[in-house]
Amino acid sequence: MSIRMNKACAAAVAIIALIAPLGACEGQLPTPTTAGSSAAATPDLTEAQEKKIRTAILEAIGKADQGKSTDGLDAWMGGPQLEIRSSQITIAQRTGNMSAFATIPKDITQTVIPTDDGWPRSVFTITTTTEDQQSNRLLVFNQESAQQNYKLVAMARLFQGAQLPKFEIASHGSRMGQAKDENLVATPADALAQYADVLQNGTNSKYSDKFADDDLRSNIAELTTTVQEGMQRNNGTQQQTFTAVPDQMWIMRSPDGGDLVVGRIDSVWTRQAGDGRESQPASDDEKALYNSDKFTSTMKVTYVNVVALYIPQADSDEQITAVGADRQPVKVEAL
Amino acid sequence: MSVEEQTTEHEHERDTKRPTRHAVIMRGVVTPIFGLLAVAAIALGLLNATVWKPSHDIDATASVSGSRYIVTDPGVLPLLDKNATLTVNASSSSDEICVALGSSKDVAGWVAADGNSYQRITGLASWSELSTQTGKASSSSSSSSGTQSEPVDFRDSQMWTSVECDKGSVSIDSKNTDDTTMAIIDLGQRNARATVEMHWVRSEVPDFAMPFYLSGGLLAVLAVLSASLFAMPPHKRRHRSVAAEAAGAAVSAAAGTRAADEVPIGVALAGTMRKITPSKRRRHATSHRRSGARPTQNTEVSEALETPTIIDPSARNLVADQQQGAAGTAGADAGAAATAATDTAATTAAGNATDNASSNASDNADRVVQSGHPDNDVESTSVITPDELQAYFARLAQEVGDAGSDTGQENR
Repeated sequence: MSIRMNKACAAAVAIIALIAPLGACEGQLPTPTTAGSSAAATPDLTEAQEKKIRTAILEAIGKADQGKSTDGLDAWMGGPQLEIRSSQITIAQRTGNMSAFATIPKDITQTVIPTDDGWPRSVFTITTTTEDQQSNRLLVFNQESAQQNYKLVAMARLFQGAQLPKFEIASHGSRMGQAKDENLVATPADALAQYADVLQNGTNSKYSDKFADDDLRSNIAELTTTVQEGMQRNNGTQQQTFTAVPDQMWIMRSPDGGDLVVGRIDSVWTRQAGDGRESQPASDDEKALYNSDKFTSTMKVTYVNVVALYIPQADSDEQITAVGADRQPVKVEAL
Repeated sequence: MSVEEQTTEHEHERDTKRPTRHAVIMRGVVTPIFGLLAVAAIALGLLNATVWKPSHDIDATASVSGSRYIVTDPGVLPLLDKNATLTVNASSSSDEICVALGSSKDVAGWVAADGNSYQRITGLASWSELSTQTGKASSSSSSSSGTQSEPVDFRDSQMWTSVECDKGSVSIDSKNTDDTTMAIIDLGQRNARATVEMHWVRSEVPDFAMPFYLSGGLLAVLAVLSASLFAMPPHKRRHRSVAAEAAGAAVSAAAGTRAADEVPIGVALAGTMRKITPSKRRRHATSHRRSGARPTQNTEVSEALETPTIIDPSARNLVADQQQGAAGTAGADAGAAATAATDTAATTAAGNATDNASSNASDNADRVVQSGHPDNDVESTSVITPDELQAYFARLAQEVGDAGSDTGQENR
């Protein structure tokens, strides 16, 4: 019996000795798993992040407006909006009032966030109407590279009654477009250049029936006609040239197949007064910018125009529509 | 009757006086082994649940130098728990270091824009150490836009969801981390040396005690079984049931109760085992050369003792019957023939039956005489005793005689 007991004890101890080393473990070392991160495109920013960025930028702009100083603005703004704003602040320094067109509301109705992985990245945000019932603003924030911050590069004031395309909700994100996007009535680069031509030549342009009528076209046409009448009374001449700037263009693809393009068109307006008369500034802004009493017979004014165009799909047989614009003289010279 | 009863009793007493070797081994050796193993398993389970329980707090560190940026791979921050704390200690307390959390796209973009090589924390090398790898410098940093402005300060970048900066040592908490969140550590332009420490508090800890408890339970059940069931000698179990069937209602009841008094568990388990191991029964049946008779015998004799058993009159082993007939022992044939005679007498016309019955009766009479020989195997005649057989045939002859006289009268 004792021999058997010994054998039993030995067997039990042997088994315990085999199992015991397992007892002191923490378990199996886990390895990190990347759960299909590349499966679905995720938005580059959350809505909260977008709001934080926008608030920071608008605060900086507000401070610059109030202080009427352009110092440090280039950390928060870029592209055409930087020039427009600088010009507006300069005018405000001289006239004492900031232009009403420069107001940017704090609240938004929609933000369109890209899902693209690379840089540069642009976010389109549509604000509410302003307190004095001006139309909504379409803001474009651009991050040039990973090590840069977002800057406000373009702002277009939407036309009354303009229809914007639908975009995906911010938590889903939309894709950015390219300058050479196909399958559209015209590529974005071409569309911008053609619109510049239409602005310049009006109904004489060969592209004029590709574009629907819009406020900017009619405003510029009206302005040109008025000034022309005045010029002709004095035997003067005037001409405007519009040039598209294709590398300052930001594009967002709409899920319905079209593209929303925000681009810059530079224009130069040269007015020559005849009969030895002086060519004078045509608006208060021009006057403030010129800031001098010495006039010559020729005046050259440089404008920065920002236009927002909606380009529909190629097979839709619709016209390209301008949905918003902004226009500001940035330089006035007497030649 | 008495011969068989007596032999059964003999064996009975013999068995109760001295347990078989099989039972001794089972009860004396196997049961203690199982019992000890069960106790050991439960003890190990208790140890695993208390002293050896995997810890909730895990702290892993790594020492890094040579790069400005350290980046955790996606999936490393939530490796052990949704909440993690990342602490960075610079080698000198005057170095300004920053740590930030951002999405994997943004962190990868920042490091790629920087262009230099960086360190990656890829996971756990052991439970107290992080594994690191060097990430390659990307060549695409200069291919982006022509005018490269100054990069913004690390802490000012708008891409990070949270940022902490400090001199010497900095710590950041990540709550509800998802799989795409990465941490990026900026060691400053002078590429300070630093130790990175990650701390998790595990909310779920692997349970090592349960398998031990389960196996302990199983071993305990096995110990109990081997002490009771497996210790029963198989032939003894079968014997008890045979005695109950063959003896008749009162006798079998007495034997059964006696057996029940002796080892109640044994009978109950034996009955269970008999029902679920039919092969044993059949094996024993053929080895003892009792085939078709047993099922039929059940109906006649043991109705009072057991629940109705199923009769299968066709379950006859003809080969065995032949052998029995050749060897000269009565057994199956007598019983079967008797049954056949009974059936035919009851169902067919008296004329046919008479001939068969008389010829069979004479044959059976011979066999019955032979079966009374004491040298024959007691088992083979246990289903029907010779006395009973004689009584039956007497009755049969009388009936046949009556029937014959009746038919004779009819035919005339």
